[in-house]
Amino acid sequence: MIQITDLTKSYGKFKILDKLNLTIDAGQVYGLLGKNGAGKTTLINLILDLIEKDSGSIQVFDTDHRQLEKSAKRRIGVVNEDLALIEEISGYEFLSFVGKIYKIPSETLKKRINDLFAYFFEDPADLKKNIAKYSTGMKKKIAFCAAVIHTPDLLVLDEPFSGLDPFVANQMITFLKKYHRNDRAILISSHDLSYVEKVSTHIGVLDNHQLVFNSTLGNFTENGANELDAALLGLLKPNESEIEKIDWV
Amino acid sequence: MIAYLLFIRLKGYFLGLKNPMNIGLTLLAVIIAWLYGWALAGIINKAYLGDMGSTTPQSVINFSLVAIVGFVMLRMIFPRYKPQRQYLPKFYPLSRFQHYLLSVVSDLTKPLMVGIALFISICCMYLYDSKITFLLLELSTLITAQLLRRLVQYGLDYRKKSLGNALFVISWVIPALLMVNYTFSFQYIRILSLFLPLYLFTIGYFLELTILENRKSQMAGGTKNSNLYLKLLINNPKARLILFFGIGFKSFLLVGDFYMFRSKGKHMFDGQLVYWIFASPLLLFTYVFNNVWGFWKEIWLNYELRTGSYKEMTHFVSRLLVLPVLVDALITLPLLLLTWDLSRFILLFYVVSLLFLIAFSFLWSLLFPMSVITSFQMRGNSSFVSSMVSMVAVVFLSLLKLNYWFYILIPFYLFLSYMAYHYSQDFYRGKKYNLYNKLQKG
Repeated sequence: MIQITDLTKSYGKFKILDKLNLTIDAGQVYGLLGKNGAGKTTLINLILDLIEKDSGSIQVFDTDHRQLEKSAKRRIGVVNEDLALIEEISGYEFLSFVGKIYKIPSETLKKRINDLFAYFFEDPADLKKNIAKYSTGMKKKIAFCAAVIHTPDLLVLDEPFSGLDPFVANQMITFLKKYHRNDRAILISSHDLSYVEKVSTHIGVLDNHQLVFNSTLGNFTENGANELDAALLGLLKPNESEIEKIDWV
Repeated sequence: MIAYLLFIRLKGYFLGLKNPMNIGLTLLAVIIAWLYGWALAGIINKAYLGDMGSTTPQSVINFSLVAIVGFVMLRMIFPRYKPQRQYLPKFYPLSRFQHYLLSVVSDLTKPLMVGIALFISICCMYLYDSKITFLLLELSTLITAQLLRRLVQYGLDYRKKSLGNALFVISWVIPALLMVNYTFSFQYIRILSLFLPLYLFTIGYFLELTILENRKSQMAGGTKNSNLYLKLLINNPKARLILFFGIGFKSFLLVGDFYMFRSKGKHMFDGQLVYWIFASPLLLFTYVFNNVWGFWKEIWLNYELRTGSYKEMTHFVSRLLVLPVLVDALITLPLLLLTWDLSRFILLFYVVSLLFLIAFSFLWSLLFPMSVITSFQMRGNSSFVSSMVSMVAVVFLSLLKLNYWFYILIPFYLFLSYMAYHYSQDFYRGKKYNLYNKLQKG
């Protein structure tokens, strides 16, 4: 589904990604982990062709990501950092708008919107509220609904769980587990390790402009011998000696 | 039922007076109504005495009538769009006519209407002459304005049977004819202003009968985004304010020019090149649409992420433009056509400049995107280059007025417009990264 070869990206003097290689195949739920500023969002924006790469290649559905046709773009579902929500209209109208872009037949669209709302939103009145009045969590939920409404083959989710309460985050995980199929791939960038662990089949860890780990979840946790956060901390090695210097706390 | 409603309203006004803040606001409203009523009466009295030069009392009264209509209509969209309210649910045991009557009466007893009625009454008290005629004329105009507002909202807020849609279109014919008559000559205005409320009331009732469902369930339950473009304009505070300001400013100039022409037989700026800047739809573009993605970044992002189709993006913007252009054309063209004997030039100038500005707005929005944080930014809402080029192009196009030879500019402008759109399509893939980067900063 996604094949990245020698991808390099800098912002001025600051190198973000350096000759990064990554392959995500159908059937994988790929959890992308890393510190703040490691380049997770940059990598996702590069895949989505929102920012320009310096060098390397990104193939999506075996096609250069810049040359994707409309039909191929329609096979991708996205929750990116901006959420891309039109705040002037209601949640229902936004999903209708997205559904029309994807040319989903109106009866199917109506059913999908109603099903998604029934699952994710407790109060049916939320349907009619303008998105500008939504809380952060509600905005995340509606962005997620817009990402899956056309049942894409590739789902790219940038921090989908941030701002969600544990109940809704678990709802989303349950949905993703149901959504996961052998002919679909999901890429999730997240800080919420416990959630990533529940849904991912593969893990990638970004650090020092590179993927320092890229394998199955089982390999990452040594088949459950380690907790995910312990495995991650072992890999990223936070500088704990610095805490000794803070003697004023 | 209506008497009871009026009683509840009245009670509501007095109950509100328990709160010191409401007392203050009510007092302020009364003082403002009194002050403006007194001032208007003073001006009309002066005009009666001949102390205002060529200004007649009738022209001052006409101005106040236009102001009342404008104020009531603007209240509908400013500071935000207020949908028409359903006062009682449909299951109340009332006939459709009683429902309608109740709704109309409720609208007429809103605080704004009471405030304006107070202003009219106070003005009437201070007048030297024609008190009853003035009172009847102004009150009937106030009622007409409110009924006109309802008529507009039947079009905007409700889904109707096809007969209703036809009726809606037909309903505007008579007000439009009367408006033309009003503009040409004020001689029948008194009779017409008494007839118009009755007409609007009757047509409103028939429109009410054709409504399929109320607005809220349509907006929430339907999948038709019939109001999508309107909502994008009205619910976007940055675009709404600046468009409102731009169209208001332009209307003010054109109405001023209209009165100047009627009284002195001359046009502003002597009708020379600068004049035509305001006659074209230029302000819509220099204020908003030359940087359309700055105002509606999410629309672009949705299309880019979901289809990446530049054509679909521009088609969407074209549809978004329909309403502002329609408002602009409805204000501009009648005023221009009534004061100039150059209908062919005016229509061609307006249409060609519009096509040119639309095509180039896509190019400018791509080449010089700017993040828009507030309605009135020090650095402007669209780039200086785009504003200057658009302005010069419009001024240059106004040369059509001078000589028929300049009509050769029309194919040239159309060709340029085509090229601008064509190149913006070509540039899109390369320029979209800069667009995203610039808009991100917002």
